[in-house]
Amino acid sequence: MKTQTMTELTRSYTIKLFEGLFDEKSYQETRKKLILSEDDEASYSVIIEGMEPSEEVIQEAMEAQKLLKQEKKKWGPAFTSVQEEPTLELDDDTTEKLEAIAKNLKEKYPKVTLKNLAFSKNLKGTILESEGEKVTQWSKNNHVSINLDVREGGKVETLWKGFYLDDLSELSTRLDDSFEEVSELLYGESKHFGKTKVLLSPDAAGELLGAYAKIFNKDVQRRKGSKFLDKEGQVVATNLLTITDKPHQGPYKRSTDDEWKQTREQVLIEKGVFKTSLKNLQEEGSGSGYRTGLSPSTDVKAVHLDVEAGNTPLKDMQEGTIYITQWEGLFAGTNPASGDFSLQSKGFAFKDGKKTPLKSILVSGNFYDLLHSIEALSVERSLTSYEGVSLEVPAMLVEGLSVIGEQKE
Amino acid sequence: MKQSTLENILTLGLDSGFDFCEVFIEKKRMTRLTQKTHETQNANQEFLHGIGLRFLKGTEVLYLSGAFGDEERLLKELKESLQTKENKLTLYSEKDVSLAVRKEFSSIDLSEKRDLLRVMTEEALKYDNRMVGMDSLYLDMCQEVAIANSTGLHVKDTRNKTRLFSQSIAQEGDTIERGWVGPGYLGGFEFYDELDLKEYAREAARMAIVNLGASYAEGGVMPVVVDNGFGGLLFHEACGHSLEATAVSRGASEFCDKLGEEVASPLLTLVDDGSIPNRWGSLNIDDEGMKTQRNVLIEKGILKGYLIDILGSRRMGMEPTGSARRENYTFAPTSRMTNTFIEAGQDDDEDMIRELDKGLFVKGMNAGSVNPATGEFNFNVGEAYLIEKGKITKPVKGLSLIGTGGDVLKQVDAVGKNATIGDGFCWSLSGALYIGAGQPRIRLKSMMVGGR
Repeated sequence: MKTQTMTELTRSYTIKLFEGLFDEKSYQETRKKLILSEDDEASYSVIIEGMEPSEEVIQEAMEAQKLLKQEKKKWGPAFTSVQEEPTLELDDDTTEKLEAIAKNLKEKYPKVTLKNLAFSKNLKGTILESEGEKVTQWSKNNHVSINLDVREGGKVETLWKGFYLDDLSELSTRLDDSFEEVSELLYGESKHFGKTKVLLSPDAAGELLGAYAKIFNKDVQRRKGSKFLDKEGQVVATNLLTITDKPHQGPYKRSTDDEWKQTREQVLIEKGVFKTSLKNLQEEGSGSGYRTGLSPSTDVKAVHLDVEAGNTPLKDMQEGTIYITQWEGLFAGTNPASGDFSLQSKGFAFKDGKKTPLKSILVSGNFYDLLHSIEALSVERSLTSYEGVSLEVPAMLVEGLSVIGEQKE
Repeated sequence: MKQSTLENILTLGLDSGFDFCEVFIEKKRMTRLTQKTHETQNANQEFLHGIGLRFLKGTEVLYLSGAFGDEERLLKELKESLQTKENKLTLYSEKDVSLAVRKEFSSIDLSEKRDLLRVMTEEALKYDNRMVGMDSLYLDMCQEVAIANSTGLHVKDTRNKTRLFSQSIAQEGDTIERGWVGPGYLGGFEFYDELDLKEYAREAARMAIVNLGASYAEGGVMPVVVDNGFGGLLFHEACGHSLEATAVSRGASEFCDKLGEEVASPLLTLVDDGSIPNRWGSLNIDDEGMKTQRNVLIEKGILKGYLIDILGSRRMGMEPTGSARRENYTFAPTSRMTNTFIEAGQDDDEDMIRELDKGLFVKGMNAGSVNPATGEFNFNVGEAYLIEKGKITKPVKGLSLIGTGGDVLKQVDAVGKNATIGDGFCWSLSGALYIGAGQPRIRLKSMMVGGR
């Protein structure tokens, strides 16, 4: 019997501006997990918070293993790699910088209420221990979230946005874009365009790819949750598209996965050709086996999906398109098995040099078809995240998506 | 935890200037079995034992939570962090309000639980030769909570819950589609004595096969008939979240200050009831220790009430409604739905279809979301058909419905006689919670349908 323990530590320091009042927070959490397993047999996992496992629990776990003997899960060899916990502190002047940025934006956009603005420095650590050996790893990131609200004449518009950034120097520009967007969308209309040319903003393209990120995972493919099973070497997208999983980059970067295997860069689609699937040990591969938090089983997962930039500036791509900047209900409205999506959306119509805000529209299509229909990618990319996968993605110009609204255009 | 320790904690809070203090202790044992067609993927046992402390001063909140540990150390740390005087609060004796179960989960062998999944998988695969798989989850949970607060309340409850969730997978050529079922229960393993597992498995398979043969429909604005059962999710998203104190008390709901006003079709009565015996979305007491109850939110189109927790009641100046819920001790409770449903009406199900020249019949929903501030909601359709010349015709797929809550409530022009409730989950501020959503068959004059 092999016994492993996994400890997850989370440390965060957050400064939150809540409708004009600052509230400083710090957050620490430590959770521990015991995993009992034998090679070539199933795992039976016990998550324990605040107490040690009793003999009865361990006995029950061993019984469960006998029951699950047919399972082919294997655990990889452990290795020792202990890193010291990195330091994590907020700079002394962070509060003042945030106040100044918020004050400038409030003056520029007096109608917009900044419901809250939160800046966090986060540190996440995972410690795996087995039979006296131990590996630790840490990831750090800075996260900003804003919640905006604007009201006028019975109209209401809100915007929530969260993003990662390296330092506060780029914050002002990013927030300015959001204030401008919510102000314009207050006057948005629901217009009907039928099948048309759609430009997905870097954020919207990143979030949509995030909702479909699991189609690259071998376990999902094998269980009929993706159309990419056994498609290696086949053309699955326009030749403009190259997608790579780069686990050593982004806010969730990892040197080993949760099966103690080293991570590596993997090209998933190269110039439209499907190259490889992501795998864990159970899928007879390695390097992409992760637990969600302390979830008991390891699933296959990408860490940081990087889509190569194109060569057209974003502003040169907008004319004649429906420019989508926001999706709602990605979780419900996307189907990775069939590729179908139908999503409540917001954005702008660009026609004859005029920009018209749009809301209460539905954008529908099929993701597998969309990969073939990408006509151009922008130079600019943005860093987004979706369900624990970070994505660095350019804007995508796509032909043939349906845009449904109330008023015929 | 000893009663004297609870009293000490609450006294510390009061003496520090807070006017309401609460201790929430949770001990939870949960079993999850997952099966992917013929492979048993995992058997997992989860134990949580933690404590959440909430201190209110007016509407300001301090919430502390952590794994359950040494009582003396907890008291010492609290004393150090709170400015205290020396008073003494006395709690009532603990009242145990737990519901009895006939078959405790811990008394059932794991192999018997796994057999449930095996039976469903085998039945689903037999349904049609295009059925290629079934992903299933068995879940049981025994959650013991003890809640004490500075009003003297001191209650204990044991909540036993179980659910099966199965997703069937059908394939024809390159087309893959899924169907699902997810019956749940408040009570013990006796639930499975009466449950027709094979019938549920066939239903999941039927849904996947229907979608395999479905075509894409052109989107637009059209009349929509939503069938009874989990179709009630429409109202959960369209207005349920906007009636929670979390949104209303902050002025972030389209239903603020509209009590007594007509907000919906006079055919509509919307109720949230956490006290329905044995329902998946039910609770004996809420997570602030208050008995759950039937809350009429909209009666014949008139807004009658909101879902209110203690903090919301302070902000709104209204009484709590037994609606405070949290996923576990790490979350402060907020106002949340339990079993939310539209009451039965007088209209004939068949007439609702017969009277339409063109429209959409939605038989099943998947999931959705809402922005309570603007009322904009969306949800994805699981199974749907076109209505043509008064008849349900071909199946269609890949559809979503959107609208705003205030508008959709007024679009209802027929409410059927047979109301049922389906089981599901809801994710919001205080975590993932088990809920019920239900309705009779309902017709909406006009909704926006996204297709292609």
